[in-house]
Amino acid sequence: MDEHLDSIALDELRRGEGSAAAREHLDSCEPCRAEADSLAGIVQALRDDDDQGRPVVPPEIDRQVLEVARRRAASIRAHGVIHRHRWLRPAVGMAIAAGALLSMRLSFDALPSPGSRAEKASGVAVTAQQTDLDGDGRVTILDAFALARQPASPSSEIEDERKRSVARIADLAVSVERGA
Amino acid sequence: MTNRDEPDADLVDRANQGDATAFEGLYRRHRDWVVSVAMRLGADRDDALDILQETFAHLFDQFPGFTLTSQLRTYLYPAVKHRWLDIQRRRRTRVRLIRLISPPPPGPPPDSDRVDGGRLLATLTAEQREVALLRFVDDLPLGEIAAALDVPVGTVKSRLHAAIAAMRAAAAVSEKKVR
Amino acid sequence: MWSIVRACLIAGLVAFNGDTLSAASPSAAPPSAAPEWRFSAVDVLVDPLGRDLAAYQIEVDAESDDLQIVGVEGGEHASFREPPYYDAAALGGGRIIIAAFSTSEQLPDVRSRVATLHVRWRAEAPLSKLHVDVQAAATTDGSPIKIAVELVAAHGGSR
Repeated sequence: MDEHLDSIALDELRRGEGSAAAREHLDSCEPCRAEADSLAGIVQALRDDDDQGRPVVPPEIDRQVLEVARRRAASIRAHGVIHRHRWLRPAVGMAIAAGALLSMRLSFDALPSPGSRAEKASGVAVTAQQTDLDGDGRVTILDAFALARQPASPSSEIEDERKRSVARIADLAVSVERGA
Repeated sequence: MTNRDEPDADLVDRANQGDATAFEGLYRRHRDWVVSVAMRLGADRDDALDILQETFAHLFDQFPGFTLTSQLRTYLYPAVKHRWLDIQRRRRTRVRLIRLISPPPPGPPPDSDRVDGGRLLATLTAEQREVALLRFVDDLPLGEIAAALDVPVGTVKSRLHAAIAAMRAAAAVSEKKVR
Repeated sequence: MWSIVRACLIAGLVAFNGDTLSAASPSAAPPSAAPEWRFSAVDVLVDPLGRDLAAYQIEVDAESDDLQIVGVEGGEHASFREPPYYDAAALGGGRIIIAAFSTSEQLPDVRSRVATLHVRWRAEAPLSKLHVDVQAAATTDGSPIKIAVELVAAHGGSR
């Protein structure tokens, strides 16, 4: 390694991270060692400064917070573990498909979910036509914009799903593997 | 019962089962840090203590079903920030990012050869300061900082790089003045 | 079909030789050392030529191994303050597509910063070859419009 280490590399070495090559360079390079020493001084100065002026948390605050914790814990024990995250139910998905958005030639199920790059790439061929809402032969941000401009549904679940679909179309539009 | 070495993930698991001592363990472990972050953002003592209570009330409300996918501080940081901004909105005043945007404090005493952290921070933009403190004081990995701030890791590196350069320049000026 | 505006941005990028670089340079680099990687920020400015800018999609391509796009931030105008859409897989490479839309009624109709790119580059990077293609742009009702895009060095490092 004949390049000087940049500040990010020096910071990684400060934390005991970084490559063996970088460490070897640091050991043999005086300018980089000076930079590392300078960085260590800066870090220490910031830590010293942060220690000053922090208030001691009064015991009554602790008691109030821990009372909230105690009530929450008791509620969990009383009611059992609840799965907080509800996923869109199939019936809701069907309702959406039957609704206004269907007229836009959009299939939520066909839209690719975030996944690996390979998954994204393979999903594009399937979804390109279904996400080209403005019919110009390409999937661009204008397709996401077209969906976002549609009148809002009174159903919050349909609205949530529409937002997700807007995001998925936009993700497709900016995919560098697919191109524009 | 909790012990100091028990990972946050284990405490979260136990809290999901309704173990009150796990909640307390999480609170005591991160309490001072939450206060510290609130004050960095500009909160005074009373606001910082309000934020502390609201942040943990919000955290506890995520149980059961809370999943820890990164360090707990990655989750807490935006929660603290959000609450501080809420306070500002409620007051309809300008955001007082005291430590983030305040002008440089008076110079160090002439006989001091110590680099003043406050002076270094005063040379940074708000975003640079945020990243520098999370990295150098809180010791968070770059990926965790990126998650906490909801920006790409590259942006974190860029800000950190610029912050280090600016603080080096400021430290060099301080040293010259001392000499 | 709207025309593709291609803008090679040079003048602003020359300013990379200013404060950001000098502040980041090692104090005593030996003459034989290879160029050091550096970070800078590039503002993406869009001029919708008098129309309300509601959506844009732009490709930025460095066509050089000496420049990597490592981060994306939102812009200055309230309607485009959130970071635009982009492919996270593009970070660390030289080519990225950014896109955003706004359903707000307050849209920019003059030149404004819609995003900032963070780049990592080497001293000999052919920054002047950094160029941008407009892939799509639309006004409030979704109809395509012409826009002019400019990339300029963001002064003061990261924002």
